[in-house]
Amino acid sequence: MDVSVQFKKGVLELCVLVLIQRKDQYGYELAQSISKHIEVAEGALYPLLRRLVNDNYCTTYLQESTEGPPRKYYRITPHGKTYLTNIVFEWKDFVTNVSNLIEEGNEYE
Amino acid sequence: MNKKQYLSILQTHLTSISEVERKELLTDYESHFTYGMHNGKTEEQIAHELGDPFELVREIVGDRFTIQDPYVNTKKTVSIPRNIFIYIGLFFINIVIAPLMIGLWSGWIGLCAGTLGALLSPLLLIPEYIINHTFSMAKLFASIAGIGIGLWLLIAVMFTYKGLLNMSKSYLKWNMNVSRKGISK
Repeated sequence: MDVSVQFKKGVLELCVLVLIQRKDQYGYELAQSISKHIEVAEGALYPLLRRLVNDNYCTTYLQESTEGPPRKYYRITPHGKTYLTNIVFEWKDFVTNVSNLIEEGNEYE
Repeated sequence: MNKKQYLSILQTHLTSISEVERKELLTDYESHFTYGMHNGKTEEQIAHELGDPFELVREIVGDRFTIQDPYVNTKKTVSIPRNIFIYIGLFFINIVIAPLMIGLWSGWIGLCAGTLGALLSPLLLIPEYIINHTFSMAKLFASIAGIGIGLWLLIAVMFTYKGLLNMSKSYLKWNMNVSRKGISK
Protein backbone atom coordinates (compact mmCIF):
# COMPACT_ATOMS: atom_id res chain seq x y z
CA MET A 1 0.00 0.00 0.00
CA ASP A 2 2.68 2.44 1.04
CA VAL A 3 4.86 1.54 -1.91
CA SER A 4 1.99 2.13 -4.29
CA VAL A 5 1.45 5.62 -2.81
CA GLN A 6 5.05 6.49 -3.60
CA PHE A 7 4.67 5.19 -7.16
CA LYS A 8 1.61 7.32 -7.72
CA LYS A 9 3.21 10.46 -6.37
CA GLY A 10 6.06 9.99 -8.77
CA VAL A 11 3.91 9.67 -11.87
CA LEU A 12 1.32 12.25 -10.86
CA GLU A 13 3.24 14.97 -12.66
CA LEU A 14 3.28 12.92 -15.83
CA CYS A 15 -0.45 12.15 -15.60
CA VAL A 16 -1.35 15.79 -15.00
CA LEU A 17 0.67 16.99 -17.99
CA VAL A 18 -0.83 14.33 -20.25
CA LEU A 19 -4.33 15.35 -19.20
CA ILE A 20 -3.85 19.08 -19.67
CA GLN A 21 -2.17 18.49 -23.00
CA ARG A 22 -5.39 16.88 -24.22
CA LYS A 23 -7.42 19.88 -23.12
CA ASP A 24 -7.23 22.76 -20.69
CA GLN A 25 -8.68 21.70 -17.38
CA TYR A 26 -9.37 23.25 -14.00
CA GLY A 27 -8.27 21.77 -10.72
CA TYR A 28 -11.38 19.89 -9.72
CA GLU A 29 -11.91 18.51 -13.22
CA LEU A 30 -8.31 17.37 -13.30
CA ALA A 31 -8.71 15.62 -9.95
CA GLN A 32 -11.75 13.76 -11.29
CA SER A 33 -9.98 12.76 -14.49
CA ILE A 34 -7.06 11.37 -12.53
CA SER A 35 -9.19 9.61 -9.93
CA LYS A 36 -10.94 7.84 -12.80
CA HIS A 37 -7.69 6.01 -13.51
CA ILE A 38 -5.69 5.94 -10.31
CA GLU A 39 -6.61 6.30 -6.69
CA VAL A 40 -4.59 9.20 -5.33
CA ALA A 41 -4.84 11.82 -2.59
CA GLU A 42 -6.29 14.62 -4.71
CA GLY A 43 -4.93 17.30 -2.41
CA ALA A 44 -1.42 16.67 -3.69
CA LEU A 45 -2.55 17.98 -7.07
CA TYR A 46 -2.59 21.65 -6.13
CA PRO A 47 0.98 22.00 -4.87
CA LEU A 48 2.04 20.03 -7.93
CA LEU A 49 0.13 22.37 -10.26
CA ARG A 50 1.72 25.37 -8.57
CA ARG A 51 5.12 23.85 -9.17
CA LEU A 52 4.32 23.19 -12.82
CA VAL A 53 3.32 26.83 -13.22
CA ASN A 54 6.47 27.99 -11.43
CA ASP A 55 8.57 25.80 -13.70
CA ASN A 56 6.80 27.28 -16.71
CA TYR A 57 5.40 23.92 -17.84
CA CYS A 58 1.91 25.35 -17.82
CA THR A 59 0.05 28.62 -17.40
CA THR A 60 -3.26 29.47 -15.78
CA TYR A 61 -6.22 31.59 -16.75
CA LEU A 62 -9.48 32.29 -14.98
CA GLN A 63 -12.88 31.64 -16.51
CA GLU A 64 -16.19 32.60 -14.97
CA SER A 65 -18.61 29.77 -14.47
CA THR A 66 -22.35 29.66 -13.92
CA GLU A 67 -21.93 27.49 -10.87
CA GLY A 68 -19.53 28.39 -8.09
CA PRO A 69 -16.38 30.51 -8.14
CA PRO A 70 -14.42 31.26 -11.32
CA ARG A 71 -12.46 28.29 -12.56
CA LYS A 72 -8.71 28.38 -12.74
CA TYR A 73 -7.80 26.58 -15.94
CA TYR A 74 -4.39 25.10 -16.60
CA ARG A 75 -2.90 25.17 -20.08
CA ILE A 76 0.30 23.45 -21.14
CA THR A 77 3.12 25.60 -22.56
CA PRO A 78 5.40 24.64 -25.49
CA HIS A 79 8.12 24.15 -22.88
CA GLY A 80 5.77 21.84 -20.99
CA LYS A 81 5.05 19.88 -24.15
CA THR A 82 8.72 19.25 -24.80
CA TYR A 83 9.18 18.23 -21.19
CA LEU A 84 6.18 15.90 -21.39
CA THR A 85 7.50 14.20 -24.53
CA ASN A 86 10.72 13.57 -22.68
CA ILE A 87 9.21 12.17 -19.53
CA VAL A 88 6.72 9.99 -21.44
CA PHE A 89 9.63 8.52 -23.35
CA GLU A 90 11.59 8.02 -20.18
CA TRP A 91 8.60 6.49 -18.42
CA LYS A 92 8.04 3.95 -21.20
CA ASP A 93 11.70 3.10 -21.23
CA PHE A 94 11.70 2.71 -17.46
CA VAL A 95 8.61 0.49 -17.43
CA THR A 96 10.03 -1.75 -20.15
CA ASN A 97 13.31 -2.07 -18.28
CA VAL A 98 11.66 -2.91 -14.98
CA SER A 99 9.35 -5.44 -16.67
CA ASN A 100 12.35 -7.01 -18.36
CA LEU A 101 14.09 -7.23 -15.03
CA ILE A 102 11.10 -8.92 -13.41
CA GLU A 103 10.74 -11.36 -16.34
CA GLU A 104 14.42 -12.16 -16.22
CA GLY A 105 14.03 -13.00 -12.54
CA ASN A 106 11.17 -15.37 -13.30
CA GLU A 107 13.27 -17.42 -15.72
CA TYR A 108 15.62 -18.45 -12.93
CA GLU A 109 12.90 -19.56 -10.56
CA MET B 1 -13.71 16.11 8.80
CA ASN B 2 -15.64 18.96 7.20
CA LYS B 3 -14.53 21.75 4.91
CA LYS B 4 -13.94 24.26 7.66
CA GLN B 5 -11.79 21.90 9.70
CA TYR B 6 -9.80 20.85 6.67
CA LEU B 7 -9.08 24.39 5.55
CA SER B 8 -8.25 25.60 9.04
CA ILE B 9 -5.65 22.86 9.44
CA LEU B 10 -4.03 24.02 6.23
CA GLN B 11 -4.30 27.65 7.26
CA THR B 12 -2.68 27.18 10.64
CA HIS B 13 0.10 24.87 9.51
CA LEU B 14 1.14 26.49 6.27
CA THR B 15 2.93 29.30 8.03
CA SER B 16 6.35 28.82 6.51
CA ILE B 17 5.24 29.63 2.97
CA SER B 18 4.52 33.13 1.75
CA GLU B 19 1.20 34.85 2.38
CA VAL B 20 0.40 35.00 -1.35
CA GLU B 21 1.08 31.33 -1.86
CA ARG B 22 -0.90 30.28 1.18
CA LYS B 23 -3.90 32.29 0.04
CA GLU B 24 -3.68 30.93 -3.45
CA LEU B 25 -3.51 27.33 -2.26
CA LEU B 26 -6.34 27.84 0.19
CA THR B 27 -8.47 29.30 -2.62
CA ASP B 28 -7.65 26.25 -4.70
CA TYR B 29 -8.80 23.91 -1.96
CA GLU B 30 -11.83 25.98 -1.18
CA SER B 31 -13.01 25.93 -4.78
CA HIS B 32 -12.29 22.22 -4.88
CA PHE B 33 -14.77 21.80 -2.03
CA THR B 34 -17.29 24.05 -3.78
CA TYR B 35 -17.12 22.13 -7.04
CA GLY B 36 -17.26 18.83 -5.23
CA MET B 37 -20.41 19.88 -3.42
CA HIS B 38 -21.96 21.04 -6.69
CA ASN B 39 -21.39 17.53 -7.91
CA GLY B 40 -23.37 16.12 -5.01
CA LYS B 41 -20.55 15.13 -2.70
CA THR B 42 -20.52 15.76 1.03
CA GLU B 43 -17.79 17.82 2.67
CA GLU B 44 -16.53 14.71 4.44
CA GLN B 45 -16.31 12.80 1.18
CA ILE B 46 -14.31 15.56 -0.47
CA ALA B 47 -11.99 15.90 2.52
CA HIS B 48 -11.39 12.16 2.37
CA GLU B 49 -10.59 12.33 -1.34
CA LEU B 50 -8.17 15.19 -0.81
CA GLY B 51 -6.26 13.04 1.66
CA ASP B 52 -4.74 13.64 5.07
CA PRO B 53 -4.31 17.43 5.48
CA PHE B 54 -1.25 17.02 7.69
CA GLU B 55 0.41 14.86 5.08
CA LEU B 56 -0.44 17.58 2.58
CA VAL B 57 1.12 20.29 4.73
CA ARG B 58 4.24 18.23 5.07
CA GLU B 59 4.44 17.91 1.30
CA ILE B 60 3.84 21.59 0.60
CA VAL B 61 6.23 22.87 3.22
CA GLY B 62 8.78 20.28 2.13
CA ASP B 63 8.51 21.56 -1.46
CA ARG B 64 8.96 25.17 -0.40
CA PHE B 65 11.88 24.29 1.76
CA THR B 66 14.10 23.22 -1.09
CA ILE B 67 12.99 26.06 -3.34
CA GLN B 68 13.31 28.82 -0.79
CA ASP B 69 16.57 27.65 0.72
CA PRO B 70 18.80 30.24 -0.99
CA TYR B 71 16.43 32.98 0.04
CA VAL B 72 16.57 31.88 3.67
CA ASN B 73 20.37 31.81 3.52
CA THR B 74 20.81 35.31 2.13
CA LYS B 75 18.51 36.57 4.82
CA LYS B 76 20.71 35.04 7.49
CA THR B 77 23.94 36.64 6.32
CA VAL B 78 22.41 40.10 6.50
CA SER B 79 23.07 40.22 10.24
CA ILE B 80 26.55 41.76 10.45
CA PRO B 81 27.43 41.37 14.17
CA ARG B 82 26.49 37.74 13.94
CA ASN B 83 28.86 37.30 11.01
CA ILE B 84 31.67 39.04 12.83
CA PHE B 85 31.32 36.62 15.72
CA ILE B 86 31.19 33.68 13.38
CA TYR B 87 34.43 34.77 11.71
CA ILE B 88 36.13 35.42 15.05
CA GLY B 89 35.01 32.01 16.25
CA LEU B 90 36.22 30.36 13.08
CA PHE B 91 39.54 32.16 13.39
CA PHE B 92 40.17 30.74 16.87
CA ILE B 93 39.02 27.28 15.92
CA ASN B 94 41.30 27.37 12.90
CA ILE B 95 44.27 28.57 14.96
CA VAL B 96 43.98 25.28 16.84
CA ILE B 97 42.80 22.93 14.14
CA ALA B 98 44.85 24.12 11.18
CA PRO B 99 48.27 23.38 12.80
CA LEU B 100 46.88 20.05 13.91
CA MET B 101 45.93 19.28 10.32
CA ILE B 102 49.31 20.43 9.08
CA GLY B 103 50.91 18.25 11.74
CA LEU B 104 48.91 15.24 10.65
CA TRP B 105 49.78 15.83 7.02
CA SER B 106 53.47 16.22 7.91
CA GLY B 107 53.26 12.95 9.75
CA TRP B 108 51.79 11.43 6.63
CA ILE B 109 54.61 12.85 4.49
CA GLY B 110 57.05 11.30 6.97
CA LEU B 111 55.29 7.98 6.59
CA CYS B 112 55.59 8.32 2.81
CA ALA B 113 59.29 9.00 3.08
CA GLY B 114 59.75 6.00 5.37
CA THR B 115 57.87 3.79 2.94
CA LEU B 116 59.91 5.01 0.01
CA GLY B 117 63.12 4.44 1.93
CA ALA B 118 62.13 0.92 2.94
CA LEU B 119 61.06 0.03 -0.59
CA LEU B 120 64.24 1.37 -2.17
CA SER B 121 66.62 0.03 0.49
CA PRO B 122 68.14 -2.66 -1.82
CA LEU B 123 69.34 0.12 -4.12
CA LEU B 124 71.56 1.37 -1.34
CA LEU B 125 73.66 -1.75 -1.69
CA ILE B 126 74.85 -0.51 -5.09
CA PRO B 127 76.59 2.69 -3.93
CA GLU B 128 78.00 0.79 -0.98
CA TYR B 129 79.52 -1.73 -3.35
CA ILE B 130 80.88 1.01 -5.59
CA ILE B 131 82.39 3.06 -2.77
CA ASN B 132 83.49 0.45 -0.25
CA HIS B 133 83.83 -2.53 -2.57
CA THR B 134 82.14 -4.67 0.04
CA PHE B 135 79.08 -6.81 -0.27
CA SER B 136 77.35 -8.29 2.74
CA MET B 137 74.77 -11.03 2.37
CA ALA B 138 73.15 -10.01 5.67
CA LYS B 139 72.57 -6.51 4.35
CA LEU B 140 70.96 -7.90 1.19
CA PHE B 141 68.50 -9.93 3.26
CA ALA B 142 67.89 -7.02 5.56
CA SER B 143 67.04 -4.83 2.57
CA ILE B 144 64.68 -7.49 1.21
CA ALA B 145 62.95 -7.45 4.59
CA GLY B 146 62.90 -3.67 4.07
CA ILE B 147 60.83 -4.15 0.90
CA GLY B 148 58.36 -6.25 2.85
CA ILE B 149 58.04 -3.60 5.51
CA GLY B 150 57.75 -0.98 2.78
CA LEU B 151 54.83 -2.82 1.18
CA TRP B 152 53.02 -2.96 4.49
CA LEU B 153 53.70 0.72 5.04
CA LEU B 154 52.36 1.45 1.55
CA ILE B 155 48.99 0.08 2.61
CA ALA B 156 49.09 2.25 5.71
CA VAL B 157 50.00 5.26 3.55
CA MET B 158 47.03 4.70 1.28
CA PHE B 159 44.60 4.27 4.15
CA THR B 160 45.80 7.29 6.07
CA TYR B 161 45.80 9.33 2.85
CA LYS B 162 42.12 8.63 2.27
CA GLY B 163 41.27 9.29 5.89
CA LEU B 164 43.21 12.54 6.05
CA LEU B 165 41.83 13.74 2.72
CA ASN B 166 38.26 13.10 3.81
CA MET B 167 38.88 14.77 7.13
CA SER B 168 40.46 17.85 5.56
CA LYS B 169 37.76 18.09 2.91
CA SER B 170 34.91 17.89 5.38
CA TYR B 171 36.64 20.34 7.67
CA LEU B 172 37.04 22.82 4.79
CA LYS B 173 33.44 22.30 3.76
CA TRP B 174 32.26 22.87 7.30
CA ASN B 175 34.29 26.07 7.43
CA MET B 176 32.75 27.34 4.22
CA ASN B 177 29.24 26.38 5.29
CA VAL B 178 29.61 28.12 8.61
CA SER B 179 31.01 31.30 7.12
CA ARG B 180 28.36 31.36 4.42
CA LYS B 181 25.20 30.77 6.38
CA GLY B 182 26.05 30.67 10.04
CA ILE B 183 26.18 27.63 12.26
CA SER B 184 23.53 25.20 11.10
CA LYS B 185 21.00 23.78 13.48
